[in-house]
Amino acid sequence: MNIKNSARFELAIGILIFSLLAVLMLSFGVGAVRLSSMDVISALVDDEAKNWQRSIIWDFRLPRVLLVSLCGAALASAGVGFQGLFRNPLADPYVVGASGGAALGATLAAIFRFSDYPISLGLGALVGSLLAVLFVFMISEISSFGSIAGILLAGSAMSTMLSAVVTLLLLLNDEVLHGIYAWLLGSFSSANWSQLKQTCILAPPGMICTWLMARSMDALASGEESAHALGLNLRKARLIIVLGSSMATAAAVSVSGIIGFIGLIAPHLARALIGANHKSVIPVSMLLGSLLLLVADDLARTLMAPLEMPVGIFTALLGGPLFLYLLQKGGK
Amino acid sequence: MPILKACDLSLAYKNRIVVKDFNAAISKGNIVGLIGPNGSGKTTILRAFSGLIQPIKGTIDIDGKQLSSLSARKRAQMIGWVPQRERLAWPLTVGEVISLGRAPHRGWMLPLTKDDHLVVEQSLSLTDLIGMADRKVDELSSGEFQRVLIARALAQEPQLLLLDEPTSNLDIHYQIEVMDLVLRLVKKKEISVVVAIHDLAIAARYCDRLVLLHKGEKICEGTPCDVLTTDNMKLAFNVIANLYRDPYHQWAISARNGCG
Repeated sequence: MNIKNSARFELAIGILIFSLLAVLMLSFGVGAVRLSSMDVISALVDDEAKNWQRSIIWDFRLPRVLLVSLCGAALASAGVGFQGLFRNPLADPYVVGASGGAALGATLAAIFRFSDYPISLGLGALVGSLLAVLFVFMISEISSFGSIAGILLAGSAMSTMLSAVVTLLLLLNDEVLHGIYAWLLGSFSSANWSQLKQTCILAPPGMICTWLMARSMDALASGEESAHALGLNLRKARLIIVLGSSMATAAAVSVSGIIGFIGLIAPHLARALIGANHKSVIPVSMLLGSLLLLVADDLARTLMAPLEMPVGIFTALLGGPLFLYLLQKGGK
Repeated sequence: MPILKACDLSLAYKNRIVVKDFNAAISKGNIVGLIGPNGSGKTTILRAFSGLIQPIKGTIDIDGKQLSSLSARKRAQMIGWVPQRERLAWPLTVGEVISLGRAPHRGWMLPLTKDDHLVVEQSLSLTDLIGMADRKVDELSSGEFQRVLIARALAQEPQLLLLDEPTSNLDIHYQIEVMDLVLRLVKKKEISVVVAIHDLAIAARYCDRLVLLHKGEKICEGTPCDVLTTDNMKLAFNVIANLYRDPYHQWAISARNGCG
């Protein structure tokens, strides 16, 4: 990276971190009960603050806001990973079937009562996500539609099938259904510290894996033959990318259900801001993912307060049009 | 010792044999052209030399070591590959694309060092791309992009450079420019080049030796003058051809279809 590009990157990172902090502060205040920023600060730092305010902040909003940021970053890094892996700007955890696989895995773990062990939902989600992605990858490799259409078709067929299986399983196990329904629509309404802990186990390793593969993904962008000629071990590189992206997807899906489009929008905005070099795209995407998901979650909490809407609705409203725009551009 | 030696090489896609019992030795500092009609196996041989496909029979030795025994990284340190065309999934900049050529030396995770950046700078200047490092590759002309691909291969600091039809997408100006560049590189960096090439006049002008292929078999090898004979042209291309020196003392070729 040369001086001009690196200055641009640093500027983008600086602005994004600043915006993220601002939105974080804002997110503490909004919700069913509105708190002023003074209330928020005093509840955070002052032991003498009103008890109910401290409880709202410490028991509900702090874990929720942290969880949302982490999930946003995880989904964004998974999006970069899947786009790099499939060389496809339309890929994201939802489109390639990873989210659907993760949801099925987590549902199975919940039904079989593994959920007494907090990490089991995440592991179930990881296994489901890995299997779904590998399957879609194999199908798209041998499909006759060309790679971009092949992935979209295989991925959407896979996602539809998986969500049908999840719905069926939940109908057959209606005592689980009750707790899991909001989760299925994509929501952080039940966010708590133990969910945050669970996400912390899977999300950071997944994001680090993806970041370590940055240069490999730059090489993959040139196509298989050139990547091979540059000495990249394709099989190993792809496996690590799939693993990292699936871990990040599983981390998010196992606590918040299927939230679409963050993994699609964030990398695109990042590329528009600082270029296509993955070493820069990954951190910038992660910050953007946090930021976008926080804003979406704030909207979900406030627009119909005290009722909450599933956050997935807002990410879909943001991301759906972008997806269609990219599709009509021919996936360029 | 030749830089590359191929012994009894047979190559196949799935079960279809494309190249049969091919032998060749590429001397250091030479430009060797693979010529022949479409489907004669030129590109397939290059792909085997680059390790992209495994021979079903025979061996390839690079600098005395068997190609298949080298790690991907070691191989990429010795052999640079310039594809005929390439479509990047995302528009990296010229500098970023060329930097990828340092991966065989630096690995895929460690940051590039000062030395690496120096090599990238040299590759930029050898290919006449100085000042273009920040340009996005999707804004380049096809001639410029071809030079970027060559620069990336040069950044690998290879001993052997493989070029697949480097001139086929270019107009005549860029064809000459790219081949002049290859010639300069061979002289300056003392690397060897194997190039698959369609244009016989360009092949005759720039290559030290030519290998003529027909239906996957070598039918002749030698200097352009030895290879581009009327008989060979009739046999391989079914044309009646004439190799001659033009007024600038460059090789030129005239041909008409043999059946007429």
